[in-house]
Amino acid sequence: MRDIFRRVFLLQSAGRGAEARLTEDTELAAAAARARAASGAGIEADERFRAVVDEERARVAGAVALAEVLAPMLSERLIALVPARAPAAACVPRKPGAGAAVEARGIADYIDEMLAHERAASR
Amino acid sequence: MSTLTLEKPPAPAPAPSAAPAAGAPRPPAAKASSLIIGLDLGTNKSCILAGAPGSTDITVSKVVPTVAGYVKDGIVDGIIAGNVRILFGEDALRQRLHVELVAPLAQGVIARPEAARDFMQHVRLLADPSGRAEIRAVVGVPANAGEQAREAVRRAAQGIFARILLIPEPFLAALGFRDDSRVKQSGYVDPVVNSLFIDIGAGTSDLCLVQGYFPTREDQISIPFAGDAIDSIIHEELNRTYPNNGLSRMSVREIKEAHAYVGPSRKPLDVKVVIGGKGRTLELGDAVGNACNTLIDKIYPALTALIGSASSDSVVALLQNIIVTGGGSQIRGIDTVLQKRLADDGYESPKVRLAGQDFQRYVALGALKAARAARDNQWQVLLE
Repeated sequence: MRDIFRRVFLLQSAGRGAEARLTEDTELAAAAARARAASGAGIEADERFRAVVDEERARVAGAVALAEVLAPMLSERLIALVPARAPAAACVPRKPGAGAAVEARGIADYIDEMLAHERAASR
Repeated sequence: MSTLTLEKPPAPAPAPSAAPAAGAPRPPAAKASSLIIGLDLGTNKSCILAGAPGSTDITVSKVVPTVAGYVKDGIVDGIIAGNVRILFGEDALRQRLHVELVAPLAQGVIARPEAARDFMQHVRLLADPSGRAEIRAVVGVPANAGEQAREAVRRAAQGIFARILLIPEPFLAALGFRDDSRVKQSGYVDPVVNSLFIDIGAGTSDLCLVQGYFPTREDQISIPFAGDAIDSIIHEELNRTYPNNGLSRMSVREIKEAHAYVGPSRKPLDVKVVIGGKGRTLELGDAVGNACNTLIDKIYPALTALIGSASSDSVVALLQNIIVTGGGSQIRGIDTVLQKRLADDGYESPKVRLAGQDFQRYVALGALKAARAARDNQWQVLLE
């Protein structure tokens, strides 16, 4: 159940409230019902439940805060490692000339392009 | 990033995550083998190819009707083999009297999530009867499938496949159609380098410009008009011309599969059917021809739009390499009618050809090739 809580909090922190609510109403509700059925209703069970919620909320908040600090640091370091001729903008997918020399490119390179397109589209 | 997946950096393979049934307890811990699946999840038919990673062997090759049959209440014990509650594919169709047939997909995307999940479970069982292998699957999705449609596939596969990668179907068709043994031969026209694929399925017709790079959204057009829409037009026309004919949609589909054509009217096209237990001959030349020609009218503007978007350096060679695949490639005359229409409109020596008898397998074959080539960090891990 903890992983579902985490997912809900992650979605909430990403501003994806509708998906968070959906997960809460379906998967989380089902998991909570199962857990309650297994451990029985009562104050003690409710407290345990609340403790799990608080703990997972705190973990996600911590992870988000860490990511906020870590991301700029990593990006700074990575940019420093990339040679000047390959600026950061190069990661945005571009359309090569038709019939480009594909001999040197494998299927995995196409998949990389696809994933880059998807990331660019989701920004 | 999706609701249910994380793109993960290279990491050791996770513990086996597949369970024999959703929500069922996991099998006892055992060293999991790995299996790669290429899946063409089609509206009417799905193709499943599977094999071990790091090998070129295909150990499982199946084309299955994409349908789940939920056994109706009150069916007497023994009518359904094994007294199972759900049947799939041909088994479900054979028992159509005793099951509620549910098509998990409509127009190329998941429309019935529960049935899709059950069907995915069936796919897994076909590929890995032991239920123990860690499975990575590349699944074809319609060109320009939106995030919601993709997410529905991921949800259906959650807990069934360990990792997944969704790739547009027309590109997979090009990969599957490519003859890898001839790629380096002079004179071989590599479809991945410069081609235009027209993949006509049951739910959607997908057109895709494949020019040596991964097709962008602008290179792909998906039209929600394909085999099912043709069935629907034929059925309506039949009901108008022959009221109370009692033919089911499935019978209409069988008629279409046997007689579909495009181009000038082919009358008389006499089709023998059984209505109310009596044999009757229906003349269906116009009904079938008009419905199938509607498909041409729908896809031709998309075809010319994609040709128009190709660079001037590549367009002449591109016109020589227009390939029709999917179930729609079985419509008689579809290649010649499209080719003639292009030529009549002044396109330079166009050549439209059919993918051939393996049309049902190309997307899955491309998916299997992609699965074998994908790097560890390209897979999406399905969280449980």
